[in-house]
This record gives sequence, C-alpha cells and structure tokens, in this order.
Amino acid sequence: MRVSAWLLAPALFLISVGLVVRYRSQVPSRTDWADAVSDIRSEFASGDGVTWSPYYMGEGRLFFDDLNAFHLADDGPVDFARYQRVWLLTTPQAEVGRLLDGHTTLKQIQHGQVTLRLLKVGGKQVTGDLYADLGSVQVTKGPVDRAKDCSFWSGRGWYCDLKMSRKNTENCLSESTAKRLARHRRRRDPRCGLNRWMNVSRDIRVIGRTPRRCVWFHPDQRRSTRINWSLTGSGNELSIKYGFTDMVIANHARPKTRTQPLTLTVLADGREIATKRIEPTQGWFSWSLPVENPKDVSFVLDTKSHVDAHFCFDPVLLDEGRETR
Amino acid sequence: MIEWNAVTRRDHLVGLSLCILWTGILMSNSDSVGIPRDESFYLYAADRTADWYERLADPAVRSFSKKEIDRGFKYNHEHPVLMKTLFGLSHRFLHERFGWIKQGLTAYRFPTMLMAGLSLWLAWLLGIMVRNRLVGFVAALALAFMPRVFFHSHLACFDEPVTFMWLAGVYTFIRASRSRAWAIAAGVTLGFGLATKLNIFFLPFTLLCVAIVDVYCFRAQTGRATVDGEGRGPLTYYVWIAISMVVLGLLVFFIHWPWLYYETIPRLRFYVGFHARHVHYPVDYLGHLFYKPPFPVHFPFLMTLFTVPAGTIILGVIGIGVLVQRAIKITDMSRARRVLELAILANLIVPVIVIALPNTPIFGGTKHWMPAMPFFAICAGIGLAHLVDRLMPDFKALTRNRIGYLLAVIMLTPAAWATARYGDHGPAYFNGLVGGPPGAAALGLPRNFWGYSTVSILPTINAETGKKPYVFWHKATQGSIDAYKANGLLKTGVRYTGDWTAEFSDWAVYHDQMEKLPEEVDIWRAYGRDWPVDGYFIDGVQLMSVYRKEGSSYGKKPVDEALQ
Repeated sequence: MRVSAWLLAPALFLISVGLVVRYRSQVPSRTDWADAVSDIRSEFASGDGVTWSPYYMGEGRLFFDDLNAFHLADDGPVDFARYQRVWLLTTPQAEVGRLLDGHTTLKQIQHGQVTLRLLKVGGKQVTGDLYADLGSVQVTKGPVDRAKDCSFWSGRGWYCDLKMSRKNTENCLSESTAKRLARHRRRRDPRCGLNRWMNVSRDIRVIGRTPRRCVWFHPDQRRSTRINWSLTGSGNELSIKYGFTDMVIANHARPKTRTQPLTLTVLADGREIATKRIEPTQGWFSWSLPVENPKDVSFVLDTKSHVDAHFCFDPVLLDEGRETR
Repeated sequence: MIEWNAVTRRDHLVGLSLCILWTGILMSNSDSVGIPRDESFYLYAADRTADWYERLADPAVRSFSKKEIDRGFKYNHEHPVLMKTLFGLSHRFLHERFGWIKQGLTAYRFPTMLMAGLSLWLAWLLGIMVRNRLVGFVAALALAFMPRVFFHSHLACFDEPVTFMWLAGVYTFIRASRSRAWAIAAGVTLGFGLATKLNIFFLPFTLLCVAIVDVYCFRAQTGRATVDGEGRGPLTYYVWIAISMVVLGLLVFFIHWPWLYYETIPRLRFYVGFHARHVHYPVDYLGHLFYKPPFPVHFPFLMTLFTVPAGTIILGVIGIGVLVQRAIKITDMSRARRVLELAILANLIVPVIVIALPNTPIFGGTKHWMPAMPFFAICAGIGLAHLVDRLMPDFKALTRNRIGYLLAVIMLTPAAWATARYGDHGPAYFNGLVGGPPGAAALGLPRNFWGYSTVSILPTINAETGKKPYVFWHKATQGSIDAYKANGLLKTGVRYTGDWTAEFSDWAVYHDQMEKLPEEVDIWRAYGRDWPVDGYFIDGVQLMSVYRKEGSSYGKKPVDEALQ
C-alpha cells in the first residue's frame, strides 16, 4: 500500500502537468498562422480556395483578408468542388483523413503547429454557381404570366417592393455611417426601405452550427418566388444544398418552431424536373438532380406561411473534373 | 472525544496576512479583467445608492421619503443592495473623496476583492479546524488558484461576495453549534448573505439538514437530544441558531434595503418572483444550444470537473472520499467533528445540486455554484493530508508535515500557473482533463459570457481607429464602455453605436459565444467580409474578434458595399 501511495503522488502530479503540456504543445502561435498564410499568398492562383480545420482553431482568419477563403464545417461531407486547388490549413486537432479523402496532396509544409497542404481537388467540379451568378439572374414573384419583377439589385440581393424611389434608395444606401446610424436611432428607415427578410440575396447564415455561404431565398406566402438562372457551363448534376437557419428551427425558447414546410420546384429549360417538400428541421442537407447541360434553370419556392421562413440554399451545376495545372 | 482543532491568534495573523496579500494582488490586476454586462449595471446602481447615502447628511433632503428611496434604489431593484452600497461607497470615499485607491474601477471592485481575501482567511481557518495547518494551507491556496474564482474575485458583482457570505455563514454556524454568542453572528451573517444575493436562501436549509443529522446522531449516542457535558444539548444550540437566523437574518435583510420600506409585500414578491421565474440564458453545452429546460443534470458536475485545475480536482476528490468514508460511521464521531465535516460536505454538494435540478432556470455560468468552491478547496486539503498519511505513516510528525507542504506546493503549482495564465479571462479556462480551451471548444462547451473580454481588444481600438470611430461593441454595454473610458483604458472619442447595429458602424467587435454566432455573421454581411483584422485568442481559440469596414470612417462618405 505504501509503495503504491508513493507512486500515486508523483503520478498524479505528472498526470496533471502532462495533460496541460500535451494540449499546450498542440496550440499554434499567431506567427505560425501568419507564416503559413504568407506561403499561400506567394503561390496563390486564380481558382484556388483557402480553408482551415478544425473550425474552432480560427486564428488564421486574421490573415485571410482578400484571399478566396471559405468556411469548412467540422462534420458532414467535405465539399471542395468550387475550387481547382485548395490550400488547407490544419492544426493537430483536425481530422485530416476526412479532409483529404478523394483529393491529391500536391504540397505539404509545416509551420510550427500549422500544417499547410495544397490539394488538387478530385471529383466533380462546379461549372455553374448561383451564388456567383446571382447578380445576373431574374427574380420574380407571382405566376409566370403576371409575375412581378424584383428588379432592384442592392449589390448583394434582389428586392421587389421598395419603400422609396429607386434613386432615393440608392442615395440612402450611399450615406455615411453617421447618417445611417442616425436613421436607425430615429427609426427613420435605416435600411433605406429594403425589406430585411423578403429578398433573394447572397448571404451567409448559421445552419447546422456552422456559417454557410448560400443564397437567401425567402418565400412569400401570397405568391410564388422564382429565380430564373441562365447557365453558360455544361454539367450533368444539379447539386442543391439547403437548410433553414438554426435560429428559427432550434435556437429559440418557443415550444416549437413557427417555420412551416416549403415546396421547392426545380425547372430545367422550362421543364419541371423535381419538386421537394422541405420540412423545417435543423441541418444542412443535400439534394442531387441529374441534368443534361441545361441552359436555364429555375427555382420556385412556395409556402403557406412565411413566418420564420429563413431558408437559404446553394445550387451548383457539377460536371466531371477537368485536368488543370 | 476528538474536537475540532483550536485556532490560535497566530493562525488568525496568518489568515489576515493571506487576506491582505490576496486583496492586494487582485487590486493590482484589476485593469486586466474586463467589465461584464451585469457589472456595468451594478456600477450605475452603486452610484445611485452612494448618492442616497450622501444625501443622508443633507437636512434639506427627506431621504426616507418614497421619492428619495425610489431615486436611490429603484434601478436594478431585482437584487438587494448590500454589495452595490459597498461598491458605491468604496468608490465615493476611497477613490473620489480620499484618493486612497487611484483607479475608479478598482475602488468599485475593492469590496469584492476584500471578500475574496477574507474567503481565503476562512478557508484557512476551517482547514485548521478540520484537521491541521497543512489542510488550511492547501484549502486557501487551492481556492486562490482556481482561475474562474480568481476572475470573479475581481468583479463588482455578487458571485464572489455570496461565496464569501456562504462560507462565513457555515463558519459561524459551526461555531454556533457550540456557542450561544456565535448564534448571533450566524443570524447576522445570514442577513448579510441574504442582502448579497438570493442563492444564499439555500444555506439555512442546508444547515438545517446538518443540524437534524447531528441531533439524530447525538440521540443515538446518548439517548437524549438536550444535554451534553456542558449542560446543553445540540437541540438547544440549533434552536438559538434558528431563532437568530430567522429574526436577525430577516431584520438585517429588511433594514439594509430601503427599497422595501414602501410597498414591502409587492416589492418582495417581485424580487422572489424575478429569480424564481428567471429567464433562461442560452447555453452551449456538449455541442447543443439549450434555450429552455430541462437542462442536463450533469452540467455543474462536468463543468466543475473541467474548470477546476486538475491537481485540485484530484486532491478534492480524494478529500471527498475521505469525508464520505468517515460520514458512513457518523454516529461514532464526536459532535464537533461531525458538525464540521458534515457542514463541509453538505455545503459542497447543495450549491451544485441546486443548479443541477433539471427545472432550475438555465444560468449557464460556473459562477452560479461558486459557493461550493471553498468547500471543495478544503476537501483538496483533506485529500492531500490523507495522501501524506498514506505515504509516510511511520515518519515523525514534523518531517511528515514538511513533506506535506512541499507536496502541496508541487501539486498546486500548475493551478497557480493556470490562474496567472488564464485568470483574467477565467470563464474561458478549462483544465488539462478536457484538453484546455481547444478541447472544450471541440466538445462544444461555452467559454465566454456577457461581454467581459472586451478589455482584451481595447488596445487595438485605441491604436487602429480614427478619432471618433463608430464601434459596434456587441455584448459590451454602453456602461462598460463608459467605464473603460473613465478609467483610461479606452480613448474617449470612441462611440457606442448600440445593440444590433453592426450595419451602422465602422468597426465591430464580436464576443465569441455559440448562441451569438448569427451576430458575428451579421457583421460579415454588413461589412462584406468574413475575416477579422484582429482578435483575442486563448490557446488558438477565439474569444474576441475585431472587424473593420473597409473604406469608411466618420467624415468620409462610404459607398455601401452593396453598391460597389
């Protein structure tokens, strides 16, 4: 008993110290991140993407600035299809196997506790991207023959019903921070008459505990909301990722969500190819549709209630990967 | 019959020295600890309270009129005013009037810091009483070197003060279980506790349980409940304590709070109702955001396991094991020892159990069961003494003692390091068992609350922004921003845009909390970029981020990014 007790004391001490030393030794310094991102900049090419993992070790974000960086969830499928090459920054906490699966590592450099890998992305590639093309799509409301054009482009999204004239709206949006803040404080239309919710815009929303870049596609219970998207690339798969924001589905104190199901109809070259009833559940889901080089794709969204219908989606056209670089 | 150990005058001198030293350390570190939202409200309330006390000297003012009382005490009347009074008077006199404390913020915080020092003193004394000075030494240091307790020991809030009051209540109760004079102190202490924060409400019920067990055991030992060697039985002492707590406790509570002098019943009803039906704070726990009960019962247990330094956890668990083992043979123990050890065990458990109950409002902070921490620290002392006994049963007492102190220093050194490293951002501290802050982040555990960490990015705002930047401060209140300015931590030209105003600001800060992530995303949307220009990270995990809107500052006309 005495021997074990003698062993116990130093063992306990060593365990408590060892645990701290272990996790501290895996923490990258800010310099590690800066050096790694600096490496990326020196060889960054058009079409490259930059990301990091795990998501909570995000100090490298301080150095991304104008790099084409994107958020990567710690769970779920890894999707690099938008990029030909991806610069992947990881720390020892990352599940690297999941991230590298299906891709080719072209280069690997160690910067302290940050590992920088350049990946050649395998699998299908994005040939059409609604998020990128949003500025050139047509957004309408109502039936096709009597559709109302949502023709005000704010630079980020399309709006239907302006409260002010187009010119006044533009002037308002150009106002200084001080003026906009004053509008906000005096409750004098701080958003320049643009409806905060009822629009179709490039957005980023927390869905499935992770920020997702997506197209905000808010339905209108009175009439169908439609996006007409003209494609120039060819592809054989229309991949749609979608979800409701966590805030309206799960992250609230109400007994249950107020969000109602939506119906999303997809048309390719004027022909309906699929309809899906989207239930109000938390998560970022995938829906894949086979297509044959469509030139026009339309998305029509309907609902019985647009209360808390915070829907965001990310449709892309995919084609077999091309050999590049 | 084994009684509790006597406490000498020298022991009190050591306790006093500990208290002064610790208070001094806390005061010297005040600028490094940020101002959470609730503290900013209490600072404002403290000034209103101090104003009322100052006006007492003015014969032209009818201080006890309803109008004057409402003026002094209406703001933040969901909490009693003992601490707010002390914060306000400390600032008014020690800083403004006499200039003894240079920093205004430190002056507000001084009463809390003093109580943190007094807590060490009491932990030291209880450690001696329960066993010896080695236990007291470990108890005091283990309590001091808990990073989260260290953090709260700075704030002009109620959590450290109520921790002290709870500890003082137990100490006076233990003393009063053998002395009529101490029964008066027990009642007054409970009154001060009630005047500090509502959770002390559970203390008398905890002590009642200890008393019932003690009386039961005494009867089992002697066949009687009313007489012992001194001519008085435990029941007699407990009746005195009960009377004192009910009469003096409630009297002190009522007298200290002028707000209750008018409309007493409705105002009391509001006070109790506010806390009984407290709003639920969203809490991210094990990767799930909880917005409403039932909340997992294991929350306070797991969070204690992960947020107290590992060395202290190990010793504390051994100490609890020792006490539980002894409690099994409770009827064989002397009365004094029984009361002492039961009181330590019961008051370690109850604050945790109260939060663990599934329908308790969700508060989410470890501070809500902080009153258990001094008792856990004492258990750590008992654990270490037990280890030493097992290591060296045949050694001379002096040698054993010396080695015990050495072992204590070795075991608590990592805790001291952790306190120095993480204490300023205590709520972000997680121990090695969970892998530190990164391990906690991987598990989905919360590391931030109520805007305290703003202080870490003030140098960036001071250095990088223009003369009068519009800053969206996220969780930091206007009161806290004003306090930073008043204490020279933030340049005075910086403006506060208000809640939910990211899109109407030039600079934005974000306090990392899972339930607030949509608000960080609001900044990205408003600024057209996802990447911060600076931030504060603990072991690579974000606590704060700072964003700058490109191409816009006051005086220029920014083109909204939307129109570019």
